[in-house]
Order: sequence, then C-alpha cells, then structure tokens
Amino acid sequence: MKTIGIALLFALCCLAGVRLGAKKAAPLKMIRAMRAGLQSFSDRTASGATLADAAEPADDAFRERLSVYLESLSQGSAQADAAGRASAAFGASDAVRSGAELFFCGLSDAPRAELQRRIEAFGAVLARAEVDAENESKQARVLRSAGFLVGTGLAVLLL
Amino acid sequence: MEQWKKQWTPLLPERVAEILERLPDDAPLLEIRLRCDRPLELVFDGSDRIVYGNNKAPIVEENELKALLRRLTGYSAFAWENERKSGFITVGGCRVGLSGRMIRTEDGVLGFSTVSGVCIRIVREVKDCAKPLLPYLLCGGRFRSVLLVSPPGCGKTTLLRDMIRIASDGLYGAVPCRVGVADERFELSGDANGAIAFDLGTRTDVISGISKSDAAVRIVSTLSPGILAMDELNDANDAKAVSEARGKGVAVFATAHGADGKDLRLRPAIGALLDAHVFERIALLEGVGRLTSVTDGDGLRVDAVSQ
Repeated sequence: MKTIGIALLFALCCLAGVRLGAKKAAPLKMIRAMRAGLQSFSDRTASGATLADAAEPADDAFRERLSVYLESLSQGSAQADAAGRASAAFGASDAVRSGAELFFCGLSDAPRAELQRRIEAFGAVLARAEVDAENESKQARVLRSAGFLVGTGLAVLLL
Repeated sequence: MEQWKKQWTPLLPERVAEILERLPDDAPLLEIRLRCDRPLELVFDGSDRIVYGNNKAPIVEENELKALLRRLTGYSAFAWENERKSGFITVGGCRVGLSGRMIRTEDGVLGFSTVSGVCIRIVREVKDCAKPLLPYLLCGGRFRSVLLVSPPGCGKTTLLRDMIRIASDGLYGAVPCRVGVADERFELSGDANGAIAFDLGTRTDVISGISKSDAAVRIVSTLSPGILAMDELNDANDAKAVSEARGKGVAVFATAHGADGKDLRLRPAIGALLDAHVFERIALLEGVGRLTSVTDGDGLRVDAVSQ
C-alpha cells in the first residue's frame, strides 16, 4: 500500500512538472509556425499573389488568421473590426496581438511598399516573441526536471 | 442566368446588382459604368441608359465604390499596383477601367489617390463570330496578316479571340497553326489564376502581364509561332514588334482603334505599318461585330474568296 502511494505521489509530481512545462512551451511552437507562415506569405506576395493565394501554402496557424481577416471584410466588416478579429486569434502574448493588429489593419488597401514594411515590422515582433518564448521554453524544461526531482526526493524520504 | 450576371452580381454594390438582375439574360449589355454619387450608366449595343435611385438619388456612394474595388482586387490592392497605375484592372478577362484623382511623382505615375469611377466592360465569348471574315483572310488554308479596325466597343477583341481559336484548331478550311498571344491586359486569354480562361484553341501559347511589345519579342524568339496575335496596337514599340514578327515570317493578327483608314494614318506608329504594307488585310468594323469592309495593304477593297 505504502509503495503504491509513493509511486502515485512520484507520478503526480512528474505530471505536474510536465503539464506546467507544456503550458510554457506551447507559444514557441505557435510563434515558429507563424514566422514560417509570414516568410512564405512574403515570398508569395512578392511574386504578385493575392492575399488569399499567398496564404494557401502557408502554415495553418497563419492561414487561418488571414482567413478570419478576409472573411470579415467580405462580410462587410470595417478594417479595424476585421483586424481585431484576426489578431484576437493570436493567443501568444499582448505584444504579438497588437503587432498582428497593426499588420492587418488596412492590409487590403496597402500598396506593395507598405505591405513589405508591415511584413518586416510584424516579423520583428514575432522574432522578439520567439526569444521570449525560448526563455519560457527553458523554464519549461526546468519545471519538468523539478517535478521529477521533487517526486524522487519525496519518494526517497518516504521510503 | 447568363455568365456575365453570375460573374458580376456578387461583386457589385447591392443596388446595382438588383438592377442588373432585372435585365433580361439576352440584354446586349456592353458596359456598366459606376460613378461616385452619380446615377448608374448601362451601355448597350447602340444605346445607353442612365438609372437613378428613388427621387433621382445617386446609385453608387463613395464607400460602396471603395468596397467594390476591394472585392475586385481580392482585397489585395498591392497585387494590382502596376495595372492600377495604367488606369485599369482585369477581372476574369474583363477590363475594369478606373477614373479619379491620380498621384504623380518625379519617376512617373504613383497611382490613384481616389477612385471616383469604374467602367466594367462585359466580355462575351462568341464562338464562330469570325467565320464571315475567313473568306477574306485565308489563302490556301493559311492566314494572311490582318488588322481589325473599329472605334472602341465594337467587338474587336471578341473577334480576334475567335480568329485565334479558329487558326489554332484549324477550323473551316484553315491549316492548324501555332498561335502566340501577347496579352498585356489578360483580355484575350481571361485571367484564371495564371491559366487561360477562354477557348483560344489547342495550339495557342500566351504571354500575359507584360507589355505587348515585350511579350511579342519573347513569343517570336522562343515559341516559334505561325501567327502572332496582339490586341490594340498603340505605340512605336508595338509597331516595331509587329514589323519584327512579319520580318521573321510570322503572320500577325492585330487590332487598333480608329473609324477608318484615314484615322489610322493620323497615328504615326500605325500609319508607318500601313505604309510598309505590313498587313495584307485591313478589316473595318462598325457597331458590335459588324464587318463594313475589307481592304488590302494598298487600301483597295477586296472580295471574299471561298476556300
């Protein structure tokens, strides 16, 4: 009975570490996907593709948010509302959300030079967010290790 | 419902779409002209109609025109920047002319700051409309070089498109022939995301999106066509490209704006082509697709020859 209890306690500690770590590691994946999507979008728009066509081969995360923007516009929403809806889907951080809002608002009317400027500005926001997310990811690894260590320590003490 | 209704009613402002839906399917509509805070103008073959709202209210307001432009460009103004500088965009093979206030810089035209009017030309694919012209153009099954001449809106492009199809497929006594199309504004091929939307025949290659003259040079040097097709000859570059092609043994199908041969000679570039007898046939059109006369390079009227 005691052994089962100790094993459960050990498992619980490890699980808590893994879950807390996973929460902190999730934004990094999303931001990396978003950066890859933005790069592919940039290449496609540079060769004359429309927004919808440019988003097609991009990562799901980026394409879905662009679709939200285009659908909102086609349903008659104002630019600010459409940009708000698209950027709300960026759950990463406030900085990424406001960067996304600046990227989207008026995107449909932007001339080529302005589009390029927006891509660069949003790319810079995502690059900063990636650095932050990498730090978080390191913390996640620490949390996972801490969970394992606490579990092991408690198990040794109780035995 | 006719194709043009299906194509345009989802894009146009609601009130305009309602008016168009009330038109009979076979109405000979050629152009839809929308102007900011003005009534709607519908241009038919031989007449036009001004349509007001209730109490003579305008049909199209500024925000509706802006929304229309966004829809026409697929919410991607940047993708049409070069075309907009030239005063038009092309949607599904239909030319949409723009009017409004433009911005000029030291390097040239930057684009529109405000668009206050849109002119949509309805494109119809009329198969066999070029058939009455064939007896004037074919010689032993091979096409002569021809210039189609008419004022704007008389169906030169539609006729040219059908001539390309007939030459390419070798129909009605013509020997099948590779045709290269220099399609600057996507009007001959119809732009379907880079593919050819209209039936231009099986042996047709198209270069679109760049100037006609640049496209013609590439077509002649790399695609070895028997016939080069160009819509709306304008300037010396176009004339030079036509001369080069003819000099290399390629027949040319081309169109030009003008009421008659005298009009054409007022345009230096086209006049020079006529003087050099580059075209073996000049076909004059009047009204939509109505052939009035066909002359040879010397301006002498020629008769139809059955093949």
